[in-house]
Amino acid sequence: MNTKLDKSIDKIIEKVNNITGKSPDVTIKKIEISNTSMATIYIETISDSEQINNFILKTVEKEIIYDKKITSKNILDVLFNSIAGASMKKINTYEDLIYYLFNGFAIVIMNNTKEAIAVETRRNLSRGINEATTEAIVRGPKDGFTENFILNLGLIRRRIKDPKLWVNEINVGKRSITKIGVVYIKDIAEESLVNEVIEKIKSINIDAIIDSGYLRELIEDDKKSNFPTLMSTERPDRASQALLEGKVIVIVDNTPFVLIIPTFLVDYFHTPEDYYQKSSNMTFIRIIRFIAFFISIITPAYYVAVTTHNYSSIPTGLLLNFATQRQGVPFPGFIEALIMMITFEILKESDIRLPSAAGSAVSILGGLVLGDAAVSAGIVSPIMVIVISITAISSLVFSSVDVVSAIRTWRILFLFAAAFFGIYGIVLLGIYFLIKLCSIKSFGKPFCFPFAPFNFNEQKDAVLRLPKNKLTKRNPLTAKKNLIRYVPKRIDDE
Amino acid sequence: MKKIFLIVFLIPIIICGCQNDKEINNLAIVNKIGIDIENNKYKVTIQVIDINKSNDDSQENLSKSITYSALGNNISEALNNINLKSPKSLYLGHLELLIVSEEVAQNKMDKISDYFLRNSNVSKNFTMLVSKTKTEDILKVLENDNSFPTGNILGSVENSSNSDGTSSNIKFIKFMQDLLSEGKNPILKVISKNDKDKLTIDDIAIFKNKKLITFLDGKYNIAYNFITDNIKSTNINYKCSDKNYIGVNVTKSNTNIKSIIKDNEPIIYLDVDINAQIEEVNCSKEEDNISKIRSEVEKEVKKMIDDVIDETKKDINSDIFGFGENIYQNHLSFWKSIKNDWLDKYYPNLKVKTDVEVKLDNQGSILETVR
Repeated sequence: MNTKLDKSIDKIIEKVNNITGKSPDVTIKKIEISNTSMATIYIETISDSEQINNFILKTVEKEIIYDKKITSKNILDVLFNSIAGASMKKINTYEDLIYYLFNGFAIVIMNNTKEAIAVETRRNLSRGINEATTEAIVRGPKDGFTENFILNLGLIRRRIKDPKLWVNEINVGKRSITKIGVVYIKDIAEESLVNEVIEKIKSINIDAIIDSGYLRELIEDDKKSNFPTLMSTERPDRASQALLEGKVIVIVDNTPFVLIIPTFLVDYFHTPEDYYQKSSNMTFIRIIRFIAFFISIITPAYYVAVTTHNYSSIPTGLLLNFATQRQGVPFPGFIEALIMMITFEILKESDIRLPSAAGSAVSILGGLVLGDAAVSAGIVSPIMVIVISITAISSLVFSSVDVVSAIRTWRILFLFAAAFFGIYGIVLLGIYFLIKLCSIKSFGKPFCFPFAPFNFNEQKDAVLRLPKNKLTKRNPLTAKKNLIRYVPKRIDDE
Repeated sequence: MKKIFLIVFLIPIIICGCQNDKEINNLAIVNKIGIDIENNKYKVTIQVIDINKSNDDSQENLSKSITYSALGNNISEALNNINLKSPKSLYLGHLELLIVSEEVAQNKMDKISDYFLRNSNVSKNFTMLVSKTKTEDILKVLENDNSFPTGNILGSVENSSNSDGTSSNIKFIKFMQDLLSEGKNPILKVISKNDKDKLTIDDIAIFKNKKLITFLDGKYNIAYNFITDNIKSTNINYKCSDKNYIGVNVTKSNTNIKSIIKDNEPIIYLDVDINAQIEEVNCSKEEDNISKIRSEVEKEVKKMIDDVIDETKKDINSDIFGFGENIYQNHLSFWKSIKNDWLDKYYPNLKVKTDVEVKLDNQGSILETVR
């Protein structure tokens, strides 16, 4: 399929114009020198014209115009050797020419040579490194990934300066030709996992990968479960921690979200900050996160169960309190909970989509009108507002949007179970929920590790976070070689 | 595999049917029940907590109760008759107090218990009391009782049984255990109303053969609690000289009952270990002596215990302390041989050897006494 370049530059220019449809940003500059003619082709929008001036045109001026010895035969070789470009390629087919042209290279063609030089003159289109907005932490590095592939890789390399940090680059997407990097530490990661990831990515046949979310959906094992089996993160420190556990990182060009393969359920309960602060304090916070997880799934369901089926399971005082507050509310508790939950989701969604200037209006409307006025109007009971608020706040403990969405789905399922069968229904669905959760696999690894299958050693860093001198080994499920992470200094060594 | 999984989960959902779902604001939460006998029928009086929200959100409204009563041939019929009067359906899951009249306690105790035991929607953890007057009158007094959610009267029973051992908070489930167990007879506390519409809980109702037989003075309650190991804390005072008393506070009490058969006669050993601290000493210096105080307190407790045992032996002949139960548990074959004669022949002549040991944890020493 490779079409060789033509001899005449006019023909090449004509063909390029045909392929690109004479787009206004495809710039072709023809230069006549002594006995021959040359041309530079580049795309103005993705190439840096100043670099082209500095690297190519000045060299042409210096080397060729004033040097009479050069003939048209060796002119391209002279140029290739004297241009001070960072990355240069000699090409001789149209396919290569187009590929490099659209990757921000400038192409230099010359009459009667059948060859061309591609010089990298890519323009820096990325924004600078900003704070990670979706995963905020208090104490720790503030930088976040950007849309630039090279920059993202650099952020990881800056943290792990190990030559064994290997990157496998794959281009995916027939039209987008998106650069995807599979990053892993060669002497920690499991080789078969790395190969599996690379194979899966290579086998994707799609027109474009716009975000890593595309990729995640395409390579995920368990497409049915609503729990995210691959974590996406914006934080280079989290990605580096995952690499050191023997996990594989997938960087996708044009998105600040990097995928971590494989991901376990406990990873969503952890933050990079857990390892930057005192272990005992972070253990407490982790336990709080687990409590919040269960609160956010079960609270509305439990409230409905207790007020419609199992009145005897709460103290008399509380029952009277509930009963008094529910006086005059026209809806059954189940409908009331559903109304409030949907209202909250609408509020949350509008708050995300709205430009920040209008954000305060939403919070005033949501907080005051829907909360306070709805209660005084007797549409909902005050206790229901409390239940829905505590539920919503608890679910927001998780920075991952995917987990919050998964929790929401199960919360509604639990609510239905409670409305029809009370606590009996909650227990029944709870069993189903646990079975479902434990059957999820993330790239062949059990999602609920280290709880199911149970691993005693990994409990040190699951619900608890023991001090670092206790966490000497890497996760045995992901790391296959060099398992020792840390060798504590013994006193008798000194 | 997936189909089997689905079926396993669908079966419990389908076969359980629609349960009795009702919003809590449509329930009449029954708090107290009184049972009388009128014209050979049961007269059941119930008190329902009024949960109607008033315009001002003051807490006072929460403690209002509404009283209903109706007649019936049995408890469930009477409750059904009440249900016809009440706008909401009755819910007994949070029942806190059951008062039975003397007449009911004397004859129908086993019959009325059946309803409360059998019905799964009824709480089993409510306090039981016997009333010498009509229970309807007592509940009428309690209607104006504005503490929330338990009535004042329940609070005082609980408090006095926990903090000074002068009362016993007998729950329905405990009463039924004692009623049905071999070799133990239950007691209940008696509630009575005086002329000024004040309620007091004082006497002890003693049961024998599932029937109320007599009342015992309330002063024996501390000793009863000592024997049955229910003292959480109490005060013991004894006279040290003419008009002066020494008071100690019991912080912990542990009672062990041991039974021994000797020459076909059961002997009961009661070991009471008491931890106490001196609270008040009003006597002269000679009396302010630790070992003396200890022995005096031991004597005092022993006297209390022996008194109440003698009292039950005299003509009541009811084994309210469960000595028979202890023999049943430790000497089964012997118990089988004396089972039928236990209360009539053996109990009145039962030898009980009481041994009280007092430890004074905090001796309450002060440098200079005021006296």
